[in-house]
Amino acid sequence: MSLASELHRTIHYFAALSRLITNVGRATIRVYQMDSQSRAFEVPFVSSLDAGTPLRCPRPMAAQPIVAWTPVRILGALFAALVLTPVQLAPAVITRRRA
Amino acid sequence: MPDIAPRRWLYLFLVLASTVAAVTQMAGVFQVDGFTLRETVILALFAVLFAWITSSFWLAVFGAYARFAKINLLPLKPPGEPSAARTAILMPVYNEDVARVFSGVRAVWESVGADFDFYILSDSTNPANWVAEELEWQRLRSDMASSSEAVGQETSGQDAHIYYRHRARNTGRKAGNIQDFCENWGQLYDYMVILDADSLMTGKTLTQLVGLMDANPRTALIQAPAQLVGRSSLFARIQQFSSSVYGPIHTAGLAFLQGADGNYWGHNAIIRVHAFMQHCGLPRLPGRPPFGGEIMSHDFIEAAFLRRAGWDVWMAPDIGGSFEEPPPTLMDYLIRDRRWCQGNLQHLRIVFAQGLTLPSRLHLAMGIMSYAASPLWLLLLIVSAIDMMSFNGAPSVRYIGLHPSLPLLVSHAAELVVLVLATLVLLYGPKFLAVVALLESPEATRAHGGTGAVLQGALWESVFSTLMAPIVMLQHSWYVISILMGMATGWNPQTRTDRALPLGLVARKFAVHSLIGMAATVILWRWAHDSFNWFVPLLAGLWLAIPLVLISSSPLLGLVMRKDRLFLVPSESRGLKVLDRAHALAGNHEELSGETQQLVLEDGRVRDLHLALLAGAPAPSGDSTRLGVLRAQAARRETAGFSRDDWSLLLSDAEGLRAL
Repeated sequence: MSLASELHRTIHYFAALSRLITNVGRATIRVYQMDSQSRAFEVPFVSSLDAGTPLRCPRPMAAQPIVAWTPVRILGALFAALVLTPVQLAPAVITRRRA
Repeated sequence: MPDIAPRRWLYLFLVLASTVAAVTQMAGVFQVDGFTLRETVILALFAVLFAWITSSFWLAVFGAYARFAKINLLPLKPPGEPSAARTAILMPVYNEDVARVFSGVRAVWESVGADFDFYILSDSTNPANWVAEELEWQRLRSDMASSSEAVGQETSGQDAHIYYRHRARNTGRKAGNIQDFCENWGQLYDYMVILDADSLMTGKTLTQLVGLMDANPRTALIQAPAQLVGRSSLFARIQQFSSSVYGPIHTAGLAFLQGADGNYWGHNAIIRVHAFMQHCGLPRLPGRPPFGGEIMSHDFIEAAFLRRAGWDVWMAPDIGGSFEEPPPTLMDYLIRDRRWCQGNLQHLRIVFAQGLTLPSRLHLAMGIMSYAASPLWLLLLIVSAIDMMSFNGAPSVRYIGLHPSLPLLVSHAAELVVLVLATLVLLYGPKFLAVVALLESPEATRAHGGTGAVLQGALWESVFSTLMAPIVMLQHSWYVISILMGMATGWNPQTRTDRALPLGLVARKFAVHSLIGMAATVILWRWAHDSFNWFVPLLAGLWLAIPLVLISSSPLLGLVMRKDRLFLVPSESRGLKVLDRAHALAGNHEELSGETQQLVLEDGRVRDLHLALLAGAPAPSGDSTRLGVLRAQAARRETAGFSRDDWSLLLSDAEGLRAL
């Protein structure tokens, strides 16, 4: 048995440790996702006295969608919630062949 | 962080319970002789409007509680070490008073130091303003470089990063102006602070805001509520007084209930740039203005988008050091409201957008309601008046067989008096609570001129706002109706300087209000004589519309009242360094005489400066033939017949100007 699978099994024997690692990992990823980009912005700052502004560093802003709820969309969402979500939550069918 | 759900549930319960109680009382009055159609309409309108004023009342009560209980309204991690973040302070301008803009920038810079970069983002379409702004920018930079030691800070004026950018085409108005900054220079900064042309912030507040953003990486925006300061007309001083006395419990109530679901009021706020760039690009709404096209009131939408993306938006009601100037007259106040009204009604198309949080929808709905309430009040008054006019006294006698069924005359005076008293409590209760909260602090009371001055000020402010209310109601009603009819407003700069309005202008603008008041008086006196007294407080405002607007616009009267310590606010009694400095700089400002744009043709240095500032700007997109003619005329200095558009085209033409 490889070292990797050995390690994997060891960690999962300790459920609390596993949860801790998962939660810390998630929190780290969240903080990283929320704040990492500002650090990436620290590009060299060039300004010229003759021009009114620093050199441009273009990056477009995408227009965000505004999709209003209409009766048809509400019905569609309701359908999705009532039919599609339970289907997704249903236990997966495991065939003997696969098992 | 405290769980704010119980507060919200309690607030909702109190609003609903108060409304249900009042509506039940009203229905009890109507149901004795059965509901008529008019009474049903009255009851429906009454329910909506009573819920609206009840929500304001309970908001103030919650705010007063938060103040008395000294609850921390900004439960964020406190700032840690000195920040290494880059912050830009943006001042979008649109044909504003140039002296005021640059005095404000300099005053804020002197307060905050060289840790912040300043961007004056001009959308000015007036060519004289455009060139004057460029010259002022250059003057400001050279003044600051030469007088670095006079500032009294460790940093010198030579360290100042004050930039100027002019947009030839102001796509997207103010929101587009900010977006243009973000798209071109946003990546250089962690945070940006948005100022308005008439707003100021102190260095301490700005540094604190940056520290809070550093310490709280989930926070995308912190709004520092601006206190009204700096004007001297009577109208403006009354607004300043009410902002200073009543504002704190209102903002405390909002902060207490909204938590991280805060709102953005367009300026005096710090924003995390990359969150804004990622989530706040505004779409163009399908259709034509007033409901389609560019989003006018962008601030609420941007806050809603940030919340939709999972970022926190906070309000910092106790941070202080955040100021703006009120409109100098009631007329200017109403002109500004026309734009805000259109912007807020446009939110009808966004309030049901998918993915927004419920508090964001409530912010949008309350913004809509703040204008929609006026026509609803007007409708309620009209229907009530018609109902009173059609009252025929005691009902006629009916017969059951041969026996007369005598009408039972029941007096409902008690119920109606209770309802009127309840309404008065809801309208004036928040003012009373705010005065009590203020008087609790001896220091704040002294800053407002003492207990007597506060009570007197609150009394006269209540009289003034009562008289002003029907004028505003009529004006807002017209705005809402005209917008619903498809009439869009343009983008006009605000008048921000104190001036006594001329009688002719006021009479022209407010004659309609007075005439409506007179006509309503005659009708009610003739056909609803018994109920006439109920309408007197409303009619009085309309009768007095012209003198009220005229007198309240007077800066002289404002100064006289100030000497009498009436409507005194802390910025007047104790002074305010950043404001006093901005006013002193604006007062010493040397005006550029004549048509400033001519200087580009006549003075080589001005032209060189203008060309340097045009670098990187797109070539003019106008008619090339017309441009050729303009170039030739400019070369011969035959510019007398140039229109504003001609000048704008010529001033955008770097190639042609270089050839001169």
